[in-house]
Amino acid sequence: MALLMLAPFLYMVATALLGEGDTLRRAHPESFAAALAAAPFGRFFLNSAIFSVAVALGQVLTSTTAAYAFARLRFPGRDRVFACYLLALMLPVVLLLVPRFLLISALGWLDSYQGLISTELVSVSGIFLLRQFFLAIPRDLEDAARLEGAGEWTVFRLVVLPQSGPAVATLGVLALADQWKSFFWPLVATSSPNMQVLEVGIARLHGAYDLNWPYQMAAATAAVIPLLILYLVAQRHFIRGIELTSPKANRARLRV
Amino acid sequence: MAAWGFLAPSALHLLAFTVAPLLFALYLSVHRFSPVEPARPLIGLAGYARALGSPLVWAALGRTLLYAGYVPVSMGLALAFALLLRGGSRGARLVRTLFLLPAVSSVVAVALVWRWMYQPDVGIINHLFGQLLTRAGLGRVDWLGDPGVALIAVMIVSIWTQLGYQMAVFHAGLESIPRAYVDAARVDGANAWQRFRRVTLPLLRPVILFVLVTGILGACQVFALVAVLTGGGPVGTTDVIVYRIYRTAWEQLQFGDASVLSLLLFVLLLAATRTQLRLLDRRVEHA
Repeated sequence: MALLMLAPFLYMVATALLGEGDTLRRAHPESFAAALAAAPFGRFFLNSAIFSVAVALGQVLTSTTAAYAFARLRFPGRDRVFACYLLALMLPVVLLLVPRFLLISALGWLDSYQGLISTELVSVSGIFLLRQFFLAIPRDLEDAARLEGAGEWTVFRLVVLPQSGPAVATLGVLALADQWKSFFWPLVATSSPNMQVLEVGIARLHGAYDLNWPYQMAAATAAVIPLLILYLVAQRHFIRGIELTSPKANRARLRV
Repeated sequence: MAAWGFLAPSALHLLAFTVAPLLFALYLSVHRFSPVEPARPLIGLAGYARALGSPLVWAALGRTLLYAGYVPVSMGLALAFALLLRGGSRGARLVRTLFLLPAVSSVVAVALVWRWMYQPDVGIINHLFGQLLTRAGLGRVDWLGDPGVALIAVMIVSIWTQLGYQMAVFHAGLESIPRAYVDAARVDGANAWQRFRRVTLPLLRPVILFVLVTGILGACQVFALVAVLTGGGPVGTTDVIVYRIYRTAWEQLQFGDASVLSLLLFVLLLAATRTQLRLLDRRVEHA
């Protein structure tokens, strides 16, 4: 069964390297290279990297500050504001696509990094994830610092952030993977091959090389490899992300 | 006040890039709005009336609902595998890692690979299962080209991608059940099925609800997979609602109509989520 999950990946790499059908005995690494030369893959890679790193950094910044406010600070209307944030999670992605497209077009940012990146800099699920983490760590150290007269910014910078390394890493890894896979917004926000990210680039390739399966598989392999490496290196972050955002089993309601 | 300083970056961004676009979508929905036409007259609710009267829209919504039917199927499989693969043994951990791979990797790449595997003549699926399919009286199946099969083929890929994620969520939920509960039931003489049915399953309700609600929300918004696998074809049999909205906006350039459809989808998703929470939460209360 585990093999069944893996098989499509193996088949993808095999087709990319060996070509289709009966030529299984001879490797054709040159067809892989030719496929990667058929489109500006270097540029796609660069665009994907700039886009996902910039967005991940932005989301870490906006999420840590917001999550800290929601988890630790007391202010009027806090829970209502948090509920409004969560409502944003219910909005279908497609609903915001047209107005956001018109917005960045009015700013003159169509087909540019600013347009691609700016709309994605806040992630409500990232805020939620970090808030869960902050709620779970003890607040003794923070309270001690507050008693010493430290302001909230000092507490945040010198006490909370140094303790939150693992959670911030988790959020960063998840955001990176998420944006690398992002397809819908980059498809809409960019138009020239120079600005296209990898996902959009390989999706376009399949129109140009419709029945050239080794080419398509080479492109697919190139798109998957960075994600596979990230997953293998940072696997525990993917698991912790799932643990932090999903509910626990319900104990209170058990009738014995 | 310090709190608003911490909230300012995210709050201002949400106002500019989420709240304002939402209001703008409402504005667009009551106008005839195309980026290539200078005249953008107010049409009121005529766009809504047209959308609700369009058989294409209803067909797309029905198809989306049908497609979302894969969620309970993959949830059943995921729960079964999560129960089978409990524990911290190396083998179980390795298998859980492998199962998560499809969920982690690129949707477009996954769609390209399955397109290749689904090829009727040279694809590996017909090559491997051709005899079986012929014996079952199906003959050679054109997975993505046969109007009767294409949506099922897309659902199969979705099950393959979502299974590992759902399994990981179930696994985390199972791990959070105290062993003592299950052990107590065992001491009382409950067999494996009774322990699952009477102890594990009721405790897991919130987790199941979470996977179901988020799964359906995601399924109703499927786009990349359909766009690359089938492009809505053959003869529109995989034309799900978000793909329809995409074509309305970026092929027909009808931004007003696209906003109407998006807002309708939003309302439907809200209603569907509320219904699921109501129905299933009530069942939890009475359990």
